[in-house]
Amino acid sequence: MQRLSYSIVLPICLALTVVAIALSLTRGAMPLPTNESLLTLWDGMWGTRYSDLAQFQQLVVLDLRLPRTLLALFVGAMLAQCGAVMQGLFRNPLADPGIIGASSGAALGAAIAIILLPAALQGIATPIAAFIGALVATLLVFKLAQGENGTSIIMLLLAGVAVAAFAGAAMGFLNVVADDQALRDITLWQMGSVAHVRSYSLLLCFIAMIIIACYFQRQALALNALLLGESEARHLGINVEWLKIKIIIMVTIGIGVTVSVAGIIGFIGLVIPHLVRMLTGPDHRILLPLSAIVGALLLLLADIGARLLMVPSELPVGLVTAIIGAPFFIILLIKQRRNFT
Amino acid sequence: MNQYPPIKISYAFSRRVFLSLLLTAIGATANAQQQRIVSTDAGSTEVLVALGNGESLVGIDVTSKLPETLSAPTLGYHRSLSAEGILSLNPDMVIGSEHMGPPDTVAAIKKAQLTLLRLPTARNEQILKDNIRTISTSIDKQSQAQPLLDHINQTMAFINERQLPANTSVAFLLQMDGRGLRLAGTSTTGNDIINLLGGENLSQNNGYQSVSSEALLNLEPDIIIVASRDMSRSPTELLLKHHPLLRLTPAGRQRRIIAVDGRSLVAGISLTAIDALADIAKQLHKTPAQ
Repeated sequence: MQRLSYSIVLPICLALTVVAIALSLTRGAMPLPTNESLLTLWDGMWGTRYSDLAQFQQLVVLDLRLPRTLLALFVGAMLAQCGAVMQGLFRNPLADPGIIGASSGAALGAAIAIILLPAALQGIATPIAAFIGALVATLLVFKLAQGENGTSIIMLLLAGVAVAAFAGAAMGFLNVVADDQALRDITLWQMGSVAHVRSYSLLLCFIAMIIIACYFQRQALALNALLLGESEARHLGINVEWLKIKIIIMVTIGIGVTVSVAGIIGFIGLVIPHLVRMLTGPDHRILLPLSAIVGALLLLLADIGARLLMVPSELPVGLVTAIIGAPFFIILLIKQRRNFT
Repeated sequence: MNQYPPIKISYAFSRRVFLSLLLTAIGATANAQQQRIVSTDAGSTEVLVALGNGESLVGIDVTSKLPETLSAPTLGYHRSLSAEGILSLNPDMVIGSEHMGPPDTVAAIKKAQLTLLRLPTARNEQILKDNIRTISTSIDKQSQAQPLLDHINQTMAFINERQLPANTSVAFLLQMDGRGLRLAGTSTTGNDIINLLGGENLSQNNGYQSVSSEALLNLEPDIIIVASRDMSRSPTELLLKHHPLLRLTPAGRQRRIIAVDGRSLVAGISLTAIDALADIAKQLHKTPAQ
């Protein structure tokens, strides 16, 4: 496939994202006039009073649509970047944040909080438990993979599978002892949602996104060198072992934050980097920022779909990303079949 | 003492009362200013319909059941409601249980200055009556509430006359077609039903737990109540067919295995659940322990 220039793809993606943000602010279960909704945003930012919307309609735009729009952007960007970095680090096209156990660890942590803790604590405890779960699972996987000769990528992948299997078994046990209400909560949590936003989770996500984006960007050249192979990168003067540790820690933080605020949202981390690589090539200096933008764009579009498909009820956004993502991934695979055989 | 007084309240009779109430109430409200109500709880939906306010429902949750003449869009699961979804229906009032959520949706409803009524889940007839009073007051339908309250009082009096003897152990089972049995523990509607019948729940676990017929045999229930969503085949026959060992329990030997329509219990101790309860009490009274 013909690769496109960064200078063409970037403005197009940015323009599409702006359109998607406008769509996200003006579309939802409640039909509101487009220009009035956008004026409401202007009013909210500058304290003016141009919009004619009633107070509860302004509430819909500013308190409900705006936070979920921002959260979808931040979470989408982080998931796609973590996926891109993992695929680069593992030199494995299947790698996504789930593969080092982060998602299954987070799911287990959340399930423990939902089932074993009293309902009053769950609002705060579930995200924290999910974050701890992600951290513990990843560290365990990483520890298992470390040998005398540094970190073995194969061991890392296999340990990830093993830890995920164990977390799955523990989840199964919890599901057996859970009551119906907790069971339903766990199921919904696992499908992910950006609809329920707390102000501190937005701030947390924003800070985490900026930090990991800046850090990954600084490692872009090292990741490029790593594409040649581990020993080649070592000969180029890169401390490969240290790079692995630092990147895995940053990815774990990124995944832990997204999982704790939005639950498990699949396929963004796997599909977006592949898509961007097909468009502009494997150079991480371009791949990373572009993945962030396309990831944010796609998760936002998926969320718009999630709220419009079953009005006035809502679908979990993770379901939408999987429904769109899986067929899309198959198409990508068919197009790339030559490269993998 | 083999002759029991005739049953005053049968299921069919209560249906008739219910329907006639519904029809008069619809006629009465047709001219009045129509309220727009969102109900996110099966119990409150049932009460609203029984009060003749079914027409004013503009949104319900997945567990709520409306009679065939009525319809309203579904808002999904009552613990993961969409704030914008509710607001888009432009309601005057939102009614739900204490489980309604998530918190940010509840906060948004409050911030939009809609009337929000959160009622405790009915675990006994007292809470049910309180809920009916609260709802009827808030929609100004106190007069329609009185027949419902009378009906509950009569039915409960009927049930109280037929309380089980002390220390009767009862197993409440959910029949899952071909997927085994679930035994109702504490904080389940099954447990509430056993309490109202005057029996002792033989399970002290929390919630519904999977159970084998061997374990049930060991627990020696005096009475087995089996709830099924599919009443087209006899749940008791189905239970004994799949778990023939249960014939050997005290309940099986004395033929005190009773079926109940699981759909009538979705809303906790509701108006339909109380009628179903009266039916169970009646059947148990016909076949006393030997």
